[in-house]
Amino acid sequence: MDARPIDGPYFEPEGPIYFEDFIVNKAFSFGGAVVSRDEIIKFASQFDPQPFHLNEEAGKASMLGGLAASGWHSCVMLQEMAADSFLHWVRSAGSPEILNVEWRRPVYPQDRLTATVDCVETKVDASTPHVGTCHLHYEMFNQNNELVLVMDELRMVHSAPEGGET
Amino acid sequence: MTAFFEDMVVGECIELGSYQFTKDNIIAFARDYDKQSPVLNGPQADAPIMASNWHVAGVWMRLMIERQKLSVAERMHAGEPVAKLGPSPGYKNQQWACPVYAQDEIRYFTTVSELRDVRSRPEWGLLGMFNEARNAQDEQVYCFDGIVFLERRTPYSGD
Repeated sequence: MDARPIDGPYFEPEGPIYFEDFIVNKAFSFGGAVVSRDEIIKFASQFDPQPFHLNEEAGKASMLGGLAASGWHSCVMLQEMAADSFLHWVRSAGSPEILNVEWRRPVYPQDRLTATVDCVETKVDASTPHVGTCHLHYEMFNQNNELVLVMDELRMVHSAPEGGET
Repeated sequence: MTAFFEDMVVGECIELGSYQFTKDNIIAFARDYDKQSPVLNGPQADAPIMASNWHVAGVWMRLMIERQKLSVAERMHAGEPVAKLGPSPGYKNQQWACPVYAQDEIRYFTTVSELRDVRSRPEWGLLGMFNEARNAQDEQVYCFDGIVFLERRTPYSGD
């Protein structure tokens, strides 16, 4: 059974996304990228040259069960899909902090990746009145609807300018 | 990190090596993996060239693997057995405290933080590591708590 939300982002398309635009506990889905074998090997060659990320035989002989993407590559793929979907328009205010990442299952060549994101909490701090923090919970799935990656991040986001758009 | 799980000592710190961030490698990374990066957003002559967070993160992994390969070679040369390093189930507390700019030379470190038995996989233990990166001013620019499967000399048999 697919319990995931199927709707895309609830933000206005192509417009700036401010702290106030995030709705707590209203998840949406995004993504649809297909993972290529060449990309897996390219990323691993540069940043994670372990045999199970570079060739089939070593992958089969490992816990991963086949050539699989570096976990760091999976994180990058999730962030890139999020950027295409909504992050690119978020008025971000500084580096995010990632609370945790869980690599639940390997990501293989030809996997089709989709993800959900849920803003589980928003916080304001009196010392930074124009910036709030969103706790974003991501889950990424393969084409068999199996959970492959969980990520929780704290993202600092600018508040909407007073008096509306500028 | 190619000694066995039983050889690890909590608190032991290893310098993994250093990496020179440059305008070229920062832009190349952003083109391939971080379309949001401001370095791709047109000509801003005076803007500093800042590395993507995932670039700073990826370099840790690369230096870790390079260090591991050296260590494997040393152990094989000495006729010592080499422990297998498995995949990682995840990590926690990843923070980018200061920006990394073109021309920064960043040093990376790992410190053994935890040793955990794994009942379901008796040939393996889970090695916890506190990982960090520092710039030339010795400011911490990046850190995270990692964990990875590491082969045991003797399978875990319970308490």
